[in-house]
Amino acid sequence: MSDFLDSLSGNFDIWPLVWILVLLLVGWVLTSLAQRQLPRFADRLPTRIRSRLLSALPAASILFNVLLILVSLAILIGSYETDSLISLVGAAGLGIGFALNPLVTGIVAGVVAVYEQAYRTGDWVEVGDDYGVVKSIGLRSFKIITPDDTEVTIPHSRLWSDNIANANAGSPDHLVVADFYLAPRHDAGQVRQKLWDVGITSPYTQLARPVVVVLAEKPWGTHYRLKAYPMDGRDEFQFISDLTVRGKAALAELGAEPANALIAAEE
Amino acid sequence: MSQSTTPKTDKTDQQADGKPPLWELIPLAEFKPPSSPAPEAVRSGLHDLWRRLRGGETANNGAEPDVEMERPSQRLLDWAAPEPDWAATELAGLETGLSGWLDSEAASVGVQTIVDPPMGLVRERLERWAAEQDYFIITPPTPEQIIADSDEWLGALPLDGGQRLLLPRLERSFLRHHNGLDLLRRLLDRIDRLDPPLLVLCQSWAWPYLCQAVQFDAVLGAPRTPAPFGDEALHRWLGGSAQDASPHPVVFREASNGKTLLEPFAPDSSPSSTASAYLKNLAARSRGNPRVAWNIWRSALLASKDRSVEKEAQEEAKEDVGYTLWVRPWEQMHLPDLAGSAKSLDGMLLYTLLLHGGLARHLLTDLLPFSPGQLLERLHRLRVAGVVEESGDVWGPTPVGYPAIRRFLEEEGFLVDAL
Repeated sequence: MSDFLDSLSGNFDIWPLVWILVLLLVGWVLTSLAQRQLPRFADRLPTRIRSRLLSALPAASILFNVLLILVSLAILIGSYETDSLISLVGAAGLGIGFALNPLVTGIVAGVVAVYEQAYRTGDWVEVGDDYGVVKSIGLRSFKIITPDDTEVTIPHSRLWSDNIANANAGSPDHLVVADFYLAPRHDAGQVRQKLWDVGITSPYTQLARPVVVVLAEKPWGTHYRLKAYPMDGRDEFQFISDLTVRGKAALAELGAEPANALIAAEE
Repeated sequence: MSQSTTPKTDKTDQQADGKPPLWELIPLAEFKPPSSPAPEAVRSGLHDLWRRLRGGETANNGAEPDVEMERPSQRLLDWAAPEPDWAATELAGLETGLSGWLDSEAASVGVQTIVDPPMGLVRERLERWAAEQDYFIITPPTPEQIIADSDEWLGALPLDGGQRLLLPRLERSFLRHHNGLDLLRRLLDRIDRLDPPLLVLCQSWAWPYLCQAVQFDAVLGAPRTPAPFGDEALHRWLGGSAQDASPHPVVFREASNGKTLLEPFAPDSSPSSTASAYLKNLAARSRGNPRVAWNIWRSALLASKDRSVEKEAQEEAKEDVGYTLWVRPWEQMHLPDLAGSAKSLDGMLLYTLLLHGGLARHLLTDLLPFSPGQLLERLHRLRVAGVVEESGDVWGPTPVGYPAIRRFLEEEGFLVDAL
């Protein structure tokens, strides 16, 4: 450390460090701009292309930043004597060790998350109690938008401690489920067919993917699950609402009674 | 009021020039739309990307009208590109395509399905022909009959009488509503049991949906469809129409370079020698649909030439016998475009219109998750974009806007038709 301080007071050339800082700053600005502007541009593209572009964005961003770090290292190695470099890296390591440990942990987790494709922009993910669509992926954290339109920032380091559930894993297709709870006395075949019709006739439904109705008998009645894919994953909650509204109307026309809420809740 | 002509596509022509009939029926699985020439595909792709980057705006927005290129008079337009009488379209090729079904004397000849291209290409002609042949023409059920759990409409159909039947608008016999498929299921069940001699006409967008939702193809079998009009067919059809309808010769010249279009075929000419890039682009843009192609062609006709036409071509045009009409260069066509401007929810609306072959506004409100105000706003925005129009109280796609709608829906991942 004292060698490093001595070199600072001597003929230490500060410009390489300045260039590296400028380089990292420019990289940060470009990455931030890309994170903000590309999703906006992607909104004007067809669904399939938008999905691919957004999926590729985090990896491109991380690659770009890794490239900048490599260039910075090359500048360091080319600009300083070995002794000064060891001192410099030692000092930086000390700083990182004490002050920037969470940041570095987050960055490393971010690289791992991108490599493992744990989540990509546009994916529907659940981390702990937070569920929403991934809006952007930064170096340290990623942002999701919840159904209540709240932005939640989640550090990549949650990768080490939490399970991350991803509903669509980079695909534009995203299965959604609408639940219906009926009292035991009804024609299950008729209800199942009608709910299937509700799914196949919803204007949100992706017709190239299957519509499925599954049911399970419970002590309080029957639990129906109508599963279908929306045309656009961003419409998940409107799609579920549409299925629910039309499904309830169709079931009411059939005379199927809803399950007793108290008994079902106790389950 | 435009004149109507019967397209010149009779058997005599077929024998004289040795070319196949224009109105031919082919298996749906064999349908292949005309492909776009490579330069046009590149230009169109770049234009599309540029529009998206600009958020749907085009360089033409707000541009001064091109005063140099005037529209011809209505009379001249009706001579040069008369509106075809679709109900009188020559059926030689269609009858050949259906020969196995039509010629059979057996009452149990079964069901034959024809998939009609968007905006109806053969429906009017088939209805007239079926009426002449004493077919029972089935009137589609009303929306109320479709939704109601009643057999009133179905019970009135003579499915077991042995009489030949025509169901001309299958797309109007269901609704994309949770109660809108039951009637068709019951019809399908009766068809399966009674095996009536039935000719079914279904618009191309309804067919894949019904195959998915009601498994129609399992009972109705492999459908047939009109063959696409490529550049050579358009040449014969558009050129023949002008010759038949106009009392004076009409010469068509490209406004940018003065080259003639739609010249009569020389006896020894091969299709490749007479092919024009313009007609290839027209055939590709319309996906071989003559109704779409005719509307685009008619909108491209101009009374006066472009400034850029070379003097030599201008001099040549002065010697034309009869009338000279100039055709707007393909690159300068202002055709509707939805790239970058339409939203995914617009896709729902456009898809629903195509699925049912046009719908009244009150039905759209029932089928789509839009409030009446939202629906009206979308319809008017799409009308301004030139892709939908209201005829009576029914909204539907415009022929010139249809290619843009199809492209948009395909890019958005909707279940598109095969035509």
